[in-house]
Amino acid sequence: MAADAAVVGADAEVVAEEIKMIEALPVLGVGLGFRAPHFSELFLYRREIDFLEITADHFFDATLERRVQFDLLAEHFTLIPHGLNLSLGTAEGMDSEYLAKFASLVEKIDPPWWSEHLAFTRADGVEIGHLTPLPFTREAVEAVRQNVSKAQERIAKPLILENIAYTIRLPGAEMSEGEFLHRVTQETGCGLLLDVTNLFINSRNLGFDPRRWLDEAPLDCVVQLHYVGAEKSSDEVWIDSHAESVDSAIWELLDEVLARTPAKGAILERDEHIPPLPELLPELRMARELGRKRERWV
Amino acid sequence: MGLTEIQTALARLYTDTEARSEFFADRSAFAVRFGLSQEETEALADSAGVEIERFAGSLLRKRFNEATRSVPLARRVLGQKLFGVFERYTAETGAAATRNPALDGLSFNRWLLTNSLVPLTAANKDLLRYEVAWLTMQHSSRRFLIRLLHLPGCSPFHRSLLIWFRWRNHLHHWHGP
Repeated sequence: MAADAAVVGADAEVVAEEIKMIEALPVLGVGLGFRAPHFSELFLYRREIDFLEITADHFFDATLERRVQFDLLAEHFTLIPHGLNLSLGTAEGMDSEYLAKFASLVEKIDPPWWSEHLAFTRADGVEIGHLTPLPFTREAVEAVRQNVSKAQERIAKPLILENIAYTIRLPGAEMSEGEFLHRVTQETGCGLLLDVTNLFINSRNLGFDPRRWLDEAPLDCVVQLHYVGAEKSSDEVWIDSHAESVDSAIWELLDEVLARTPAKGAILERDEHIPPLPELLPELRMARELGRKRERWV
Repeated sequence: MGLTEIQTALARLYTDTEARSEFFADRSAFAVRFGLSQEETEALADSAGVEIERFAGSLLRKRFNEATRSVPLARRVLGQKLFGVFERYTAETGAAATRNPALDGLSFNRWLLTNSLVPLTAANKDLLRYEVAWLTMQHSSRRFLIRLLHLPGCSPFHRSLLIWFRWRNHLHHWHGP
């Protein structure tokens, strides 16, 4: 009993430390996931865009053109590097070369935080080519803890972890996704990048209430948000194609998340059917308005 | 279920047609091959079997889209047959995606050139060799590459001398008559 109480006390201390760290992070506001077709327009609509998220992988071994883009973006915007392939959930450990490239990029940018997915993309030397879910087990929490710890040795800036979209429910789960996120954030000291669209998609495909999911998740740890429209494929499965405008169901969920989390910024993501930037501005304005209403940013 | 074993099994199921066929046809053999128990393999099939198939299909489509973006000449040569041939390439080579889709495209073109299952005319082979040369030079630190190729628009008896070389960190190309 006494031992349990001591553990609970230690956990509470860790959580308090983490919340303090998150509170100290700057408020960034409303931003956009950088995509090359928008490069010149970004400067035209500079006032509407508080910060940019860049896909870190696109800037490792960058071509001359990418390096020129990078220098200009870094001069004019706060940049948040976002990784795709660190594979933080891989049991066999991370790719040290990839981590070194990530560390060098973060050093160049000096961002307030950096982000990766809570997923695995590689196992037994096989590159899967996409983010894939972890089993919600204690062993997976431990694998993430060890990998994050190695990443934190190389990169001192705060790391935030993103929830992914998935359709595969792995057997052997020892806890819910909410509890898994609690344990991961406690064990690693990381914040969360809550992808509102991924939450919406999972809730539709796996048949749960996203508000109940929020009740279980460590919302105090949320630092940043992602949002974009969701798409239903021909076989009735919702997919995160990053190809659609945001619809009312996702705006409602984003509003709820803004009301319940201390989010410091929200990024609109578009990867397919990328329209000219002016067509995305109404979605940035809407997110700004919702965040203002919830007193998250000005 | 050990995390290493389940991740290894899943990585193969998502990317390897042969492993997937074995999983659906002979679970015992699959379990032995990947160090899972029979019960664990059954549980995986029950909870995720259909989704694994669907996910593997969407991964292949994603990989195809990304890899073939960097090989427009292979797209032109194969036309409507491109996806079917790419599917065969992934099944036959068992090669998983790489982090750089252009390298996947390069490997696909090299496979096309060495595989007799896909009949190609001499002119089309030279087009693919031309694309392979560009991709090789763009994605390696190789100093130079020389090719003698038949190019479209020239007489069938004429071959052009083509040279790629690096000078002061820049890639240059010289196209002979």
